[in-house]
Amino acid sequence: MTSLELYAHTGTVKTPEEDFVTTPADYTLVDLVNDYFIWTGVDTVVKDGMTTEPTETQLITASPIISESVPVEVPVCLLMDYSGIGVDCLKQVFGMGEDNTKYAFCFSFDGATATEPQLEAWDDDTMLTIENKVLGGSDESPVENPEDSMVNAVCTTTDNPGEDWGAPLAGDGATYVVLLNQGDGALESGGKDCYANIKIIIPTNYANPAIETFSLVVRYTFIS
Amino acid sequence: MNTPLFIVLFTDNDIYYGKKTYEDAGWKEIPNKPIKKIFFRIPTGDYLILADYESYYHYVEVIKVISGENAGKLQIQFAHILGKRNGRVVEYKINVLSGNIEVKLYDEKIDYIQKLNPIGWTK
Repeated sequence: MTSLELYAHTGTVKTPEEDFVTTPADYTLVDLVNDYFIWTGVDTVVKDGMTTEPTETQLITASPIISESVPVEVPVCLLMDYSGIGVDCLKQVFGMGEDNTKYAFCFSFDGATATEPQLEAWDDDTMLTIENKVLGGSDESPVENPEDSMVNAVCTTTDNPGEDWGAPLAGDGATYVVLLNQGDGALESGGKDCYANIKIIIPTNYANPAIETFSLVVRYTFIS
Repeated sequence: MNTPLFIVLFTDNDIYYGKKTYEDAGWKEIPNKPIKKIFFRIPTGDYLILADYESYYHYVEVIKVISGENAGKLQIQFAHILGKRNGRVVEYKINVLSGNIEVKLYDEKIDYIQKLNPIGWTK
């Protein structure tokens, strides 16, 4: 069966311009069971190179501030790398959210697929609802509003994303998922490294600040 | 289950038994000769029979959780078995958890069918 591994661009090149095959040392393999991403503000403590896992208090202090006048793009994505505790367990994902940046997140498939893989966002791994506020959920009807999702993504496998990229990611509606092979269909034998960039944009004067977790999933297929 | 995921009956009455799991079903090892019928196992343990199609296709649809609760989990959601005949394609989309089966009929020229990886079609 075809397997998937996720790599994050954590190398020293601040604006990544080279892919995983060219500069593998600039990418960190994400241990999906133990590692996790922290989407946060610019901070003097919770930052690239931190040697211990941040506490809840530190995370709250570092979190981005909602603006009364403009949308806020969460400026930093950190990979909490358990294997680096005591050394450098927080690794910044360079290129995350940046304009015209191709190589931030690498989805590496080791074999063929039957159809094109796609990135989706859900409340949790049951993949039934998109009611979290971060995914466009509302306290009023309709509860689910994928068009209002704060999570935005773009496929960069082939093309640069340009400026002001991103489409809302929530659920599995055709316009709210991101195809990871740039719409070119199934992956051929031998597999492929697909790329995407992801950012989170908090609306102006957003009234429902909250701590929410959501699930990012990749739906893919294989011929067994 | 301890039975093959699928069984192929060829027009010369030879039989090919698939393997038992969705992860490794042996689809790509089906001998290249005319097929009379394919028996495809559904979650109840019964077999769905597709017969007299020009070509058949099978694939598995999975979800890999990459962040959030249960990150790292790989979950098989659906098994798909398709048959193509006279420009039309029938698809049985089998939910391997609930056992529900959705049946769809397509023109073979639609984007979904055209973009299926060609290596999955039997000859």
